Amino acid sequence: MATVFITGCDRGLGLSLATHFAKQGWRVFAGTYLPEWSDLDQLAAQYPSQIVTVPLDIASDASVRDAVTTVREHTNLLDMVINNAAIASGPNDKEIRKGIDYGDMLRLFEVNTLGALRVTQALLPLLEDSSWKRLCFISSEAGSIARSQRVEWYGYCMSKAALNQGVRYLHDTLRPAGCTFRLFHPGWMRTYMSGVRNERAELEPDDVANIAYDYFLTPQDEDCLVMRDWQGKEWPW
Amino acid sequence: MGAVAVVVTAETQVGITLFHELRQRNIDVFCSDIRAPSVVAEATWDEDGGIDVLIVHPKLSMPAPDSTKIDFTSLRQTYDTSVLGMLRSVEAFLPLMQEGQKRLCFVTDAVWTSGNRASTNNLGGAMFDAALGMAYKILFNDLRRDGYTFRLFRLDVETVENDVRTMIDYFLSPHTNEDTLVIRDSYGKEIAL
Repeated sequence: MATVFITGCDRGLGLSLATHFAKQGWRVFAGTYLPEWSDLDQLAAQYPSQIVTVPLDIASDASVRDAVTTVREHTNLLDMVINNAAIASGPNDKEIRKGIDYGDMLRLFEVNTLGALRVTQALLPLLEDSSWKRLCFISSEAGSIARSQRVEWYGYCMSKAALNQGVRYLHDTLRPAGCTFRLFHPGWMRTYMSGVRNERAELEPDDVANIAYDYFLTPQDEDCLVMRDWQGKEWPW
Repeated sequence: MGAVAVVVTAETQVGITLFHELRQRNIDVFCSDIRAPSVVAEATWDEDGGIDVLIVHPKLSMPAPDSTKIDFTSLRQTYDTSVLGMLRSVEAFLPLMQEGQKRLCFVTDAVWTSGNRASTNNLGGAMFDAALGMAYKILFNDLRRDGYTFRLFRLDVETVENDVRTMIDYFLSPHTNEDTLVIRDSYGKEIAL
């Protein structure tokens, strides 16, 4: 049974990815940060032999270390890691003349950028014996400098631009060791990124999870990292 | 160009060089440390009332590259000081620029641009250059509407002394297309951001 570790599985795309991978027969280690949300526990109850919930705060070194310990209690081999967890908080959505919350911006960098790198670094030894060695990152068009037309949202956009370049660094560093990468822009989904479900968005996370699953498993783009969206289109940096 | 400029940098030597070069052109210059721009902004407001040109040099002192162990504490600190420091500087001085020439200038040593490959031998450098690039783009999208003009110059760390005059010329001169954000290097080559 192939094994995947997914961060941010309490709701939204992470929950949909955990569901889809379990349905496809994968063993899923599902990171959970919001114990008050019960959807993931219900899913784990449906797939007791496949889903292991793992308490995880990707902004915390100690929490990530504990998560690795939990995984090692079950297996020493992962085939895929999906860095999905991210935040998009409200205070940073202002134009510069209306005031910027720098503490919030630092928090976005800590979670959206460093969090993914922290999880990747910690789980890397578990990928060593896999034939996949696949590292997947959920990014965003908001990180594309070339296409940016926004006049606010500094913190989120900067965190995703930094993430994209961090993944490029990892690709150049780890590709020679056999690691493979996927950088994915999932589109505007009806998720809870800002705290409440965004009903104005275009896409259902379940539909995007199906597309992401195919993209993550299909061999392509192995020696040249690109960011692709849910329609398969490549985005400029 | 106008008569008052502010230089914000974390690197004293670059600040001194820029100071002398601007003074030779009869421009009044105030210098600020990127870690405390609001202090100088208040002083500038009291003394001169407004500025025409803001030059920010968010020099990045990157953690030593190590592909086996990422130093998250250093990355966080450098992001706060240099990347967010650039935005803090713009935010602090923006109210003083409304009646002036409205020119925002940024000094970068980035190899990275949106169209070219990043320098991937340094994780921090690649990420911070990208975050700064995004911040410049959003500032441009926002402030260009109000008449602000932008200059980005890639300063080669090997030839700082020789390049500063070229850079100041670029900062103070008109550009044929103010509605496109570009990085210029010391050879005059421009790359759209």
